[in-house]
Amino acid sequence: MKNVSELRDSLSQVYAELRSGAIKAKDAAELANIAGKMINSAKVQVEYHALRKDKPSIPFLDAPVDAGKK
Amino acid sequence: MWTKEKQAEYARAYRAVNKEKLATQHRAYRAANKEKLAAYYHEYYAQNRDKVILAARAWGEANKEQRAAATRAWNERNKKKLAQQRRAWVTANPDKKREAEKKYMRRVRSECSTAYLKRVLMVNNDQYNRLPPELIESKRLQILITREAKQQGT
Repeated sequence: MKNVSELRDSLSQVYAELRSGAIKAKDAAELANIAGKMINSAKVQVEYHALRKDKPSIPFLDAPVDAGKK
Repeated sequence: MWTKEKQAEYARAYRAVNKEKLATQHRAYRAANKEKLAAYYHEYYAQNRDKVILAARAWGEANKEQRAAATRAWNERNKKKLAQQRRAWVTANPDKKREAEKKYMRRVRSECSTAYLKRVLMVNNDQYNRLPPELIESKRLQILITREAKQQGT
């Protein structure tokens, strides 16, 4: 998972699989937990740069919208 | 021959030609007779309350956009008054306020709405707008997965 678009697509897939029963609830919860950590760290990074008033390129967030699509 | 239709047609044509003049006259009359007109309207309202309410409702239904614009304008003009009323109501009804807040939070939580995501991410409007939409969508999906997993019994 290299960027936020891939993360979103992956989560979307996990959600669909969880609903269809293809994945265990416990595994899905763990994946969601890890995704939460990634999201929060990205959020903190955005806030940090906003407070410093600089606009760096964050590879995880700067990927094109369809980068995660196959 | 001078018929009713002919008279109405003449009046319409006169009004069309003298629109501005008539509007000025009307405004001047209203300004000069403000109290008299207010008394008349109050009396008319007291006597025909239901009729007036029904007519206003029908007009509002037929002119939805105009009504919304008028409401917005009125709210804008009476901002302070409304805020004061709201504060007074909250002071007088703390339980109702708490209940309304709970109801609102229940709704936004179940819908996983923007307001709820802002709260979960602990961000204000500016901070929220800085976040890329994919990140917000990921957060929404993460919450939905966690909920679904809980429901299925982890």
